[in-house]
Amino acid sequence: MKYTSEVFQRLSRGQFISSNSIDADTRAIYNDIEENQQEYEDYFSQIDFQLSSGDGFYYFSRKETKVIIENKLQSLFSWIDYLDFLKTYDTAFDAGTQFSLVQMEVKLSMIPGLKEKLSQIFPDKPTNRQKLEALAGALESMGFAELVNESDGTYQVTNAFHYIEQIILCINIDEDVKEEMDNL
Amino acid sequence: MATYRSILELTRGLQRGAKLLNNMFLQRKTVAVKYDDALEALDGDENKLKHLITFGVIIQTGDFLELDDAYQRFFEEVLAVNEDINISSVKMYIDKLNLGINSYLAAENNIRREGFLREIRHTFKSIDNATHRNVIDLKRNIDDTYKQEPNFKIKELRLKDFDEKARLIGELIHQTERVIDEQTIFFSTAADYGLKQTVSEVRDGLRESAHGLIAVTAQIIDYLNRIEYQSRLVKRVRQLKYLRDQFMIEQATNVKELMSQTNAVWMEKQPKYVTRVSLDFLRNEDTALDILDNIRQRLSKKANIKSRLADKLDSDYLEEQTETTRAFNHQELLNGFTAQSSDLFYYIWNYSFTESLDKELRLVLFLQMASQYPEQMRYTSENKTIENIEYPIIYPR
Repeated sequence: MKYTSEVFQRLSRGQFISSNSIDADTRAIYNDIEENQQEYEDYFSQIDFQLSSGDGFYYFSRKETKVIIENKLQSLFSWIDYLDFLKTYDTAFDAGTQFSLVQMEVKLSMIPGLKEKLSQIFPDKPTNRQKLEALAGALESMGFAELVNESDGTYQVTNAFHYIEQIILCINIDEDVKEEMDNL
Repeated sequence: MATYRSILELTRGLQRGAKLLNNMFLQRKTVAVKYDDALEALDGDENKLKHLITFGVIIQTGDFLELDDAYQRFFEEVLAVNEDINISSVKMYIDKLNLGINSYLAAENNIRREGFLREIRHTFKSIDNATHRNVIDLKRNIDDTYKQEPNFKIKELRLKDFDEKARLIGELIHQTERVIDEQTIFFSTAADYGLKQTVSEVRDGLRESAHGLIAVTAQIIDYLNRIEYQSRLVKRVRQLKYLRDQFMIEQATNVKELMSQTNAVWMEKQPKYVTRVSLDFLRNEDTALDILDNIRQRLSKKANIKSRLADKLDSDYLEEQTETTRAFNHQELLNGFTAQSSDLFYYIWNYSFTESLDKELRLVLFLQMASQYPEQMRYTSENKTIENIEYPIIYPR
């Protein structure tokens, strides 16, 4: 357990730590958690944090609810919006994908409806570039993407992105509503 | 159309147009080359170009030039960049093999047998080569298709096609091995050293290809699964987004239930950890002096002090103002009352105040006086009436 402080700093802010991070420090932290997972779990459980893991990433959760359900729904719904945009931009958008803001900006006018989706998500940002930056910022602050190249704003998606995908797939839609939507 | 008569002639011919052929080969997928551009690549030597066209290496359609299909395929295969997986039917290879073996067994003299033996060895070799090459090509093409094909449906169709091809290659390997195992009479009669060596090489090669094929098939299944996963995900996201836009998501899904089960920290507000400075540190450490100094300087900046000062007082607040309020001097009234002889009600009713007083106020005053100074009063049981108000008679004691 060499990185208790770093792990706390990152995870307690709701970030994720991914195994395929481009940052060597993050990878070192990930590996250390992997090697001493039980110790880390015990350590953080004393201050009410539950170290949880997915396929190639770690994050914190809690045993007891600290947030009211409406707030949780709001956080999740934003991600449905983001994912809808990202999957429209590139259907194969996934862990390991690289995307640049420049490239995205070009595609905004090429893919029908993409620009409207973006405007709907960030109505208060004036330019498309700023909207995209806000989106990339949201991905980055969660640890879902990392900046590879600052000059053209290239990001790489981390394994933690699977987390949000998993949640989406866990949401079941009522069968009759589903049938209705299949006709769309 | 002229044809080359020997390898020597062919290589010499190709050598002359090498630069152009290289360019054309690199661009074979994208654009047809213009006649003038081709001429430029050959340093303007039109004879060279004419030669290549005459011998059918390059085909001219209008103003554009293309590599002949036979040459293109040859280059692709030799350079191992072909995209088509070319498996001649398994049956053809196996039939050829069996034909060779049967012919060998039927041949009556050694010279003919030698010929058939060579043919059999060639067939074995070519099966080995074909499977080996095909497995490699298949692997490369699968990766390319998965990574580069943007359309999910096409991606899926092509991968399924590759899966079928992998099955055919597997079939070829299997059948060839069966021939090796089953044609025991042939292998025992033809105790040829070269054949034995070839067969053992082919066996090794086939085994290697079979292993490669297993990996390839696993890869295809993995890719197909990933595509299935991705398309399922994309569909789910679309549906959820639709429900969200229709404000139906909470009713139509189990999202509420799901969220009540998860307590991930990322859904919480970002915490801010405020730590106070230790008093011991401030008292005892030298470094604390710098910090205090720093804070002192910041606080003593004029702008800061100004911003903490209150505004100027309004002049209205400073002026003197008078307000008159009316109050009864009960003690004075009592003094007056005890100095005379009439009863309390009569006294108050007729007392001349500095201001005019209505009946109600006088009545209230009477009650107040009567209850406030019981020691100085003598209460009688008699009653009197003034203006239909009945009142008790109270004298000073």
